[in-house]
Amino acid sequence: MTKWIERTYALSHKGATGLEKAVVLTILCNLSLMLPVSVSLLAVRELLNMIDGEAASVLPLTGIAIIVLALIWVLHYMQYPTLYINTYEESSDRRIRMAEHLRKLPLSFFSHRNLSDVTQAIVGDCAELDQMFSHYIPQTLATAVSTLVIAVMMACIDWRMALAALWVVPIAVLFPVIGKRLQDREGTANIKAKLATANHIQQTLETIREIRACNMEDKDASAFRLVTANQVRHEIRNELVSGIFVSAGFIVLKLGIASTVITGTTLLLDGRLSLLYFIGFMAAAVMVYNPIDNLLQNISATFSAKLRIKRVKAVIDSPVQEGSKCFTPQGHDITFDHVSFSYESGKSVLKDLSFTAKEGEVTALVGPSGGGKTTACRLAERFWDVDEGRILVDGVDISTVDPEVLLTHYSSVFQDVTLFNDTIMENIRLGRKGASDEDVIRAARAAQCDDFIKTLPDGYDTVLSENGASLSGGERQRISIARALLKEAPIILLDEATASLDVESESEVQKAISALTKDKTVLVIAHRLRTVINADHILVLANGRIEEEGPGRSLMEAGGRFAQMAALQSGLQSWTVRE
Amino acid sequence: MRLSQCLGKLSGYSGRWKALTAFGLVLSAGAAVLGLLPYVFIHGAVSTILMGGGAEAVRYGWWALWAAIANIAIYIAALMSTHIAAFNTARNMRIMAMDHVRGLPLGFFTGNQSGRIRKLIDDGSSMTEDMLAHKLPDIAAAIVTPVAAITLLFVFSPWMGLAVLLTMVLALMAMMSMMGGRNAGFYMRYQKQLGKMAAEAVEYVRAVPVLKTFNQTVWSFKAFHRTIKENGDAALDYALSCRKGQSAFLTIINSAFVMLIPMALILAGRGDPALVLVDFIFYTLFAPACGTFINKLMYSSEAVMKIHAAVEGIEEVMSIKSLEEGGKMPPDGHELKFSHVSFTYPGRDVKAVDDVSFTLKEGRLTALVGPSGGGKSTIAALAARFWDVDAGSITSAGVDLRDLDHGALMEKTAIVFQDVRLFQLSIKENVRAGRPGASDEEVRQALSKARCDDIIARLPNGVDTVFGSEGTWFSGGEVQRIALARAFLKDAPLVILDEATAYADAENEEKLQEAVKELVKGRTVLMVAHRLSTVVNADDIIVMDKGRVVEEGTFDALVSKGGLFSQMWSKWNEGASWKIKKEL
Repeated sequence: MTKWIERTYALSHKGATGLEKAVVLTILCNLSLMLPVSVSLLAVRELLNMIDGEAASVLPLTGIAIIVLALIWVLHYMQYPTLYINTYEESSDRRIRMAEHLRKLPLSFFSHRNLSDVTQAIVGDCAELDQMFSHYIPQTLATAVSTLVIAVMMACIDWRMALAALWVVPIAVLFPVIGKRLQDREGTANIKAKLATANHIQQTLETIREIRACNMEDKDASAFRLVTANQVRHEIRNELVSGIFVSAGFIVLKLGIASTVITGTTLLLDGRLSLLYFIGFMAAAVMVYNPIDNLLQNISATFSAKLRIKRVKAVIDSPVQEGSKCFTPQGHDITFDHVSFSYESGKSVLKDLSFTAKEGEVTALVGPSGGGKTTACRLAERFWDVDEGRILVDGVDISTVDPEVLLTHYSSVFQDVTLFNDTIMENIRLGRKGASDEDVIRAARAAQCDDFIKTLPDGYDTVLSENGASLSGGERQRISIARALLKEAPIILLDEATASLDVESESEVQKAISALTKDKTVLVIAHRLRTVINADHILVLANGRIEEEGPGRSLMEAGGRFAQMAALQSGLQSWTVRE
Repeated sequence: MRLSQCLGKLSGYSGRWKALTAFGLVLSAGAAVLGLLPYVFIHGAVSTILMGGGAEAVRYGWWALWAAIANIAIYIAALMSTHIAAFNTARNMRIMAMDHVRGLPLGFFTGNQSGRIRKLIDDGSSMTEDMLAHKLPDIAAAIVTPVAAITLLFVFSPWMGLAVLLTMVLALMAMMSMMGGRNAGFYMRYQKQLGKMAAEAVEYVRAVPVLKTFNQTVWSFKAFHRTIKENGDAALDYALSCRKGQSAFLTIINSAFVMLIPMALILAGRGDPALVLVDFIFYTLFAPACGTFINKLMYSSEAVMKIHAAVEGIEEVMSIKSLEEGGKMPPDGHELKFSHVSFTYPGRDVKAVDDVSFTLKEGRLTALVGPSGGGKSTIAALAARFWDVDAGSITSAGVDLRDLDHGALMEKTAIVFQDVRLFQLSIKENVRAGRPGASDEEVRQALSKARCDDIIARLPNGVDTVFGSEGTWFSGGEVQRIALARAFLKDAPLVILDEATAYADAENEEKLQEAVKELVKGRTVLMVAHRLSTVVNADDIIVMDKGRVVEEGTFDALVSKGGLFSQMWSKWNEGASWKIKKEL
């Protein structure tokens, strides 16, 4: 049972047992609310006796009523924390679990879905699930059980009356279930229309400069009116559809009261039912419908819980990359051995690629965009796994090594630098956990960061906001180089590390890189050929294959693609805007 | 802000849909009264049975049923009305907020993450729906029901009616006890925290490659981890603080029987037990129904907090002042003059542009150069009046930009940004945005002039391919070429150009340079240059550093002067021959 709950609701073991406890107490609460009906019936019996002329005894029944009330309070008081404590602890755990899982997933996971989708699962879906687990799910499960218990008890007393009162329950619950498919369709269309609006808003905000520059304000405004009108149309349809099925359920429930009254009266007149039982069944019928009323109201929310759990599971159940934790290479040559790779099947990016980047040498990847340079670099880090062939470090296939262990041997500097919402000191210390402040500052100096950090208001303790928005591209780049320096890993990957820099920053950064790459295995991607002309080994990648390779000088002499590219670039370098 | 104030603000957005909301509320109140009728009929049925009339009782049973169904039908009609009104109100909010946003100074957009503004507008509007569609009709019903119940109280047994009323009052008090004090602003804090968490989650997911490289975990993502924990703790703390109130509330709304039982027994001892029995049954059944209304009221307190947060968010957007429209039509010339212009980005301390004066002369190409962060791009943005200057003035042929009609100013200016963005439209429409009336043929010519033929050739649907659609990918240089086509089509006399710095490959770079060369021919050009060779033949060069103009002149004059520019020039030539390799 616990296992089943864990699986169905994507809960931890603790969460599942907590949910069980909540359900049991909710069942008891539901049943306790039937007790006032029983006590009231005792009072009715007393009143009937009084009609027959007997004397009344007020105190015993009043006493029982007070005891029942106390019981109701105790049960609700006990139930309350089981709904919330567990829910919110589970909620934080779930979010952290998802975040932890996310970072272990291969990057292929992220290429299939967009950013807002993944973050929505962590933030929005989890928030909705809190509501599910504190209200709808325990209520739904408990109502199912408590209604069944009450039905059995009623049937034991008088099966005809039980039938008259309860025949409506399965039918009422069936309506929304029948309508589910139609609701799902309308619901999906509705979400799509909502997303279209959100997307339009996002686009307008992102292209606001262009809209202003092209005088497109009015055009954008009228397009937005259309998009939102469509959204309203779908919202109304969606509301109608779900409203119809839920309301049908409500109406059927009301039929139950009528059938109880009619059947009861008929039986009563025939003398086959006592007045007391007649009244009892009527009161019980009214009470038994209450939780079902609630259930009908929440049923669409309960349906969407499934959907949200599915989205959470899509993250948590995605397979992570695994491998041996034991990896202690002596040398650090990286060998691509007949590697083929594609992001989407049919569109291969790398085709049968073989080369070795030797330790102590600089190996440069150049070539036109889309040629596979960045892909090769990312495969070397096992951000993706290859489709065919192998990538070896010191002769060990990296697909057999745990990515976390593997990456302790790598330092990379990418074109787009990610900085964290923390101090500069901590941002650099990221390179090596436990590095001393002196080590960090030494690395920053070597990466030519020291000068600009000193001009910041709090120096190394300056807290960076929003991915370091206040820093220039060159400054960010140098921080990421400082990180890489601090790490002192034997394998260095540089992807367009200087492409977006202006001249001053570029020469600073280049000094930093020279310090970084000493005696390491270096794999570098560069668009500007002049930056790699002296590399030990140059690979010209085009269309996923190696077109030329060798040292720069011999490639220049060969007069192939590399020489052409170099000639073209040196012309571009000195272009002027007017002749 | 109180609820009535919130609703007042909301009704400003509702417009004519207000009437429909009111209609829905009346229906909802009517349905609530109808909802009490079945109990009256059951009362009738029981009393006829006790009097011995059987067939009569069955008829009461049917009436009870019809009243119940009428109640549901009217309630559905009420909800449909309020929903339609609510959806349209939310739509109006979105439209009005976006209309406002389009006129805001661009400083607003750089200071704010677009995701956050979107959330304020889009989610904020959605958050009002719950209140307008569900909670207001519930509140209307909850106000009418006790009135009707008090009437019934006098119709049947005043004592037992009073007992029911008393439990309802106690339940309401229990409910109120949970809403005051430190719980008051909880929902707003909770929503804010979720917003923060969303922004941090985005950063986190973006950082996954770095997390992998440096073996970091979510625990090293301190802010994110902390927000998750705080959010869970705050929600739990809030929930637990309501434990006493909530369990008391649930007990009290089910407690009417405790008073009804002794009351009935005592009354029966003094009067006619049969009559008392009928009333007792009525109130026993009626009490839970009253409880349902109070229960609904209970959930509306959350809606009140929600609507609060929503209205405040939208108001935050609406309260930002938009650029004022001057309205004057621009004069013929297009000489652009900066006089003592200063500008600071909102929220920053340092001036981005500090007392800058220069003139962009008609027909000449003026280049802005200097270290990154020196204020070059800010000058370009100010020239297009994307922001207003803090001090000094910018004049176009002698007229202050702030006095001009913004649309007309844009008519005669073509702007090409460094990080251009295309609309999610076809390539054709993206270019046509430059001049809406242009024919397909003119669009095609503009694309050719911007050297885009190779891009168009590889697209699945040529110029009709929608930007950003499945399977299409454009490099930054390609996007900029398409933007250049837009500028060609616009054929404006004044061109503001922010040179691109990063290119995917050399072919791209070459084409872009050819296109730029052609575009600047015969026009007045303000060009932000990032590579120095670009400006060798510019008519005027303005060197900027730390927001100020430090040098000005022709290329030759500046090089021979030996100032900042000549230093940059020699560094540039040195950088051009740099190599990635340890020194040999």
